[in-house]
Amino acid sequence: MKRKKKKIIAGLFLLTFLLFAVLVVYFVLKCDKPPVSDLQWARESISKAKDKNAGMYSVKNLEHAEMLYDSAMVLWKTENEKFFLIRDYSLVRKYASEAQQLSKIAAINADSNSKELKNKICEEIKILQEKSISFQNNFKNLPVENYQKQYSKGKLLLAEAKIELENKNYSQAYKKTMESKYLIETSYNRNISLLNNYLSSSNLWKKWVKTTIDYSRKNKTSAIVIDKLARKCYLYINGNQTGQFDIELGKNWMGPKKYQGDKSTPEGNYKLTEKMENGKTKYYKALLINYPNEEDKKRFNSNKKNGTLSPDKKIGSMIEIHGHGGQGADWTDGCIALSNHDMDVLFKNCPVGTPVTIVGSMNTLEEYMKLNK
Amino acid sequence: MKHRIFFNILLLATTLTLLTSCGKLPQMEIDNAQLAITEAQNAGAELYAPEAFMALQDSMNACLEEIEVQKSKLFKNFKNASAKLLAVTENAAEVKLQTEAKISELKTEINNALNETTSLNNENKELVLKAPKGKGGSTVLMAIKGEIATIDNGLAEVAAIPDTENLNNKLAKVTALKEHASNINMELKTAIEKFQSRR
Repeated sequence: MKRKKKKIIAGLFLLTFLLFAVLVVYFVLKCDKPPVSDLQWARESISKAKDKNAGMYSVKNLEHAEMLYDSAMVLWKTENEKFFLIRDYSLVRKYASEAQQLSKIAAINADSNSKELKNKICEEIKILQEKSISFQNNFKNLPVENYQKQYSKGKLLLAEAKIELENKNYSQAYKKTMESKYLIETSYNRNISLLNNYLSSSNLWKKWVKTTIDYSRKNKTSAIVIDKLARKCYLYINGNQTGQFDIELGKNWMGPKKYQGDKSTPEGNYKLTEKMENGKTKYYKALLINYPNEEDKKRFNSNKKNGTLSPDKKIGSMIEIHGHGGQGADWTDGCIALSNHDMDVLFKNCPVGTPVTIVGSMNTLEEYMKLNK
Repeated sequence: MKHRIFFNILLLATTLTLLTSCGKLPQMEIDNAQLAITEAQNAGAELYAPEAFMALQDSMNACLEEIEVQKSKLFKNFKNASAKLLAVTENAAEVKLQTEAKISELKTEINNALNETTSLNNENKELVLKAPKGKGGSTVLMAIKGEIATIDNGLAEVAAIPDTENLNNKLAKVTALKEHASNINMELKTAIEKFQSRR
């Protein structure tokens, strides 16, 4: 009897244990599985996006994806701290999936954005290179050191941008291209405006030159025309151009001469008044012109009267066409310097009385830009 | 019978001990790995060894995932995660060394480029004096003198940039200066050679 009772108790115990085991297996099977692969895919996807430089070219999407991934990890941790039968990973999965989707978008965007940026940089660099050539051709003679410095800095930045482009560092390349663009374009536009302002008298200067050449033709004489912007001296004999020489001027050659010592070369119609052989001048040979003429005196006096010039300023004199040129700089005090060889030619062909016309330029701005294209 | 029951209890206890002995969270390994990553980051790995650093971060995240996987289980085993974390720590130290080597390499490269550019620009200053001045040469020379001055200023600017700044940017700047100085050097030498051959 006792044995039978023991058997019943053991049976009941076994039954309870089996029931418990079945229940445990049921709940284990029913309870939420950890989101292992979801998180792994999200992480791999973020990694791929980073490889595509999404950190640079699709920042928002990547940051959002990383935030979602981090949130998913935190949630997973929180769920793991709960009793295993009541864990719920659905939100973790949702975040992980969104992180994966967003990082995929980030990778695609990064790819297209970087390509787009690269093309944009290449285009800008091409335009700036063209502008740079135009700058060199058109403004090399302008006495504007500040703009020149600005332009040189812009050119260096452009070179840096090209290096960054080669290194595939597009955001840096773009930044430097834009900085370079600002410097090159600002100095270019300032120079254009300066030239435009200076060449506003070009039609008058053209008339002066024509009159001088006509005079040379009619009177069968020589004539000298100085084009300050082009840095050229033209020799005319009987109205025909027979010589063209490079010249150097004073530092502030742009604009008419205002007073003594302003290192500017006068603009106007003059005549040779004296020829100085080698030995009589310290500049090899010299041709003195009649500066100041009546026009210069009138302007000088008017400037003094209206207060543009201080009363102690003098008008100056001794403006010459002389030798010792070819020094590679605008170094005279307002005279026109030619190489000694060119000076010989001019000296030989120009007697006292030869008309000398000094103009800012023989061209309008449009003509000048076209010539230097 | 009594012996059998005792044996079974002992077996169960041993199994449970074995199963739970690997279940302790490897907090020290996590802290060490994160510290090593931070050290690599502070050394500048993000800038100078970006790919290696990204891989490092990815490995760390994979480790943290592995830890959570184990934490999700009834019987936890962090052995694998611990080994991975140890590998991450070692890897981070390597990345740090790699970064330091790259920085040192960049510094040498920058210094060499600075020295080369300085001597090139000094040579350019002498060449300008010898360059032919006729036929438009004068205006070109004026522009070149301006460029030489800009290079001088640029060199001073680059030299003043502290090494704590992005060295890649510093190198790009000095490389651009060197290229520019080299182009001027070539231009001047060609002009002088042409002039001398004509004489």
